Amino acid sequence: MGASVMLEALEGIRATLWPRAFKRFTGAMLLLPAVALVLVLVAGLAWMGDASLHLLDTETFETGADYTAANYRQMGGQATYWIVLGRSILGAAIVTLVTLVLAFPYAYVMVRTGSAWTRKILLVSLFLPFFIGQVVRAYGWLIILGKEGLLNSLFGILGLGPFKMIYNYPSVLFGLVQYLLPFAVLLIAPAVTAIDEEIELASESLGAHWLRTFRHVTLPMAKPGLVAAALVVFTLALTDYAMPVILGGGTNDFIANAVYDAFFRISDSGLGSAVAIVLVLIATLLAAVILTVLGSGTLGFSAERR
Amino acid sequence: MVAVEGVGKSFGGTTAVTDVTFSVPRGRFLTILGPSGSGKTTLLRMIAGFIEPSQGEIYIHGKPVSAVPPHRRAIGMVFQRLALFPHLTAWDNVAYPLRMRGFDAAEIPDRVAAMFGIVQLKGFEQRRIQQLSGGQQQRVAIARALVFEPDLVLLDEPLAALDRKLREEMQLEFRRIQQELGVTTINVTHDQREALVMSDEVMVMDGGRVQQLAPPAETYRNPANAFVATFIGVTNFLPAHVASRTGSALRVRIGDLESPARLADPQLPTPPHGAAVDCALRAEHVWLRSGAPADADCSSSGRVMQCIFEGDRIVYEVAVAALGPALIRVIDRTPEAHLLLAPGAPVEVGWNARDLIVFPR
Repeated sequence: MGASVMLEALEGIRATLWPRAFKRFTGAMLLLPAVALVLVLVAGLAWMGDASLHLLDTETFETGADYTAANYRQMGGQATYWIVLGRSILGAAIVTLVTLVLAFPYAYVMVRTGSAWTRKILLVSLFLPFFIGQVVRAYGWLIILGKEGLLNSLFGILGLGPFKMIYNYPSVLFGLVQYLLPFAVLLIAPAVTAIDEEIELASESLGAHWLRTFRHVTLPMAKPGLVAAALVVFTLALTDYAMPVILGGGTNDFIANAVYDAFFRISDSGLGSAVAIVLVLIATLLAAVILTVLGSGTLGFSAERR
Repeated sequence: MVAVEGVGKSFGGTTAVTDVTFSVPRGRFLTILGPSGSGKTTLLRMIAGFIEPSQGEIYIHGKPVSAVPPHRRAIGMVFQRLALFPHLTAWDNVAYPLRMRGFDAAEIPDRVAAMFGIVQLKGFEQRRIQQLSGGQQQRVAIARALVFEPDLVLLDEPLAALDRKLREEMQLEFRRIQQELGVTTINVTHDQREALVMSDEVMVMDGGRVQQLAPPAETYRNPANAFVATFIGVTNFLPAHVASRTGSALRVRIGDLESPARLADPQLPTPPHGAAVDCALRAEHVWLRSGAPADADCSSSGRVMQCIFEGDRIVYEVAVAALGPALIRVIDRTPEAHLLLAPGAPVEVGWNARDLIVFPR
């Protein structure tokens, strides 16, 4: 009784605040927070776009009032930026490929295993790193891979090394793969779940051994998850800051590090904004390429899907 | 063609299939009929090669196949949820086994086209699976399982999900295709009507064991045991005692009534005088008359308790005082002058000796 009275009272309040006539706007209202968030982002981006078009006066440390493309010209003229850019894109591409190759079997086993224990262990090992921040994890790798680190002490016992395993490109990529693997697994797992196991059995009974079943059935059907994972991993790797700083030790900067340096080391917000804008443009362009090549329909946007 | 010999399967501690032996000659249609958990699907999956038997051996063309992986067995399977490839067109679904089995690329189009003709799906070749209706998807699944001319086709209850009308249509349709191509088929179902309609032989399973293997009419008219009698058709079970026996003539006492009856399996020894037995009486083998006494070997009077009108038949539940408190179910398929007997109406019920089947306990 009490509950129904309360529900009726709530319903009365709702009727006053949001009359039935407004019902058709309910959907739009629910969208509002998301739209507001995007608008704030766009506003920030617009501000940066504007800032990137003003030149910093190095004598007065004030930004000029005139619009100029000088910041972009300066970027284009410096080899360092081109190197950083190339290193970031190549790194993100390698990281995406390696992560997907590692994440797919992981997700597949996690979904298909008949043992509840195996699934639990795989899930826990997947989520555990999420509770440890990215920076802490990178430092963890320093402890393990460093010159006086765990691995090198072990090698020392065997009379080997020490090996230089950090402050280089592979160590940055390694750190990124380790950081991004859980994201990829979590995005691929639902796609594998959506593939009825009977379909794989059907492929086998129709004459395909497991490898051909994988190539002709499992892989194409898991494509939505793979595309989503590729997009997320690629953009996160391309724009990462912590791994290049900590595991690269300043020797292997990515674009985000260049943006940081411009803003906070040389205090040139115009140049920093220009680098940031270039980063946004490149990330958007490459995401668009991924979607076009692999098909946006695979993300579930096509009308054909049930 | 296919022979299953002493096959058993246990998962961990539980036994799913126990000592199953049967064979299907070339071109014949066998249905494995049983409730869920009877082991019928496990048996089918062992034949397909997805599960390895714990005991026994399966032979195809006389060769043991336990060591042969599924993709090397020439078996076409139509799955419970059809398992069509949603990312391929209907055409590519049907061409898939030909490509995987290394058929000559030049002859694939002809074979696929011929198959679309046989399953009557011409014009739908380029559709995606999601663009086809349930019945059309069934046809694609059947075409895909048959196109590579397999030694054997397995049906894992593919019709169960269809609505009744379409299901009955597809049963006849598959039977037509099966006979046209003369392909050996094993079908699994829990639908007794499907088993009776489609098959040359029906194998009834329960608790992982074969209960009866016989032609459809035989399983219906001469159930081997009480389980088969209950599972196929609507059957009244009446506890009784043997009243007398002279040669093959058997009389039983049910409640206050004495009736001639027949033993389910004439090979078995007749139970002794006074022995407790179960009598099975099919609902449609009970005569029902209002007023006049029933023209039958044994009859008694009763009262209609419930009347269920199902269109093509009327199901009555009748209380017969002489038979005790249990209600007798009666199916009337020839309602005289559209007669519907209201609850409370006095009736005469009767049956013939050949329809009262005695199972020793």
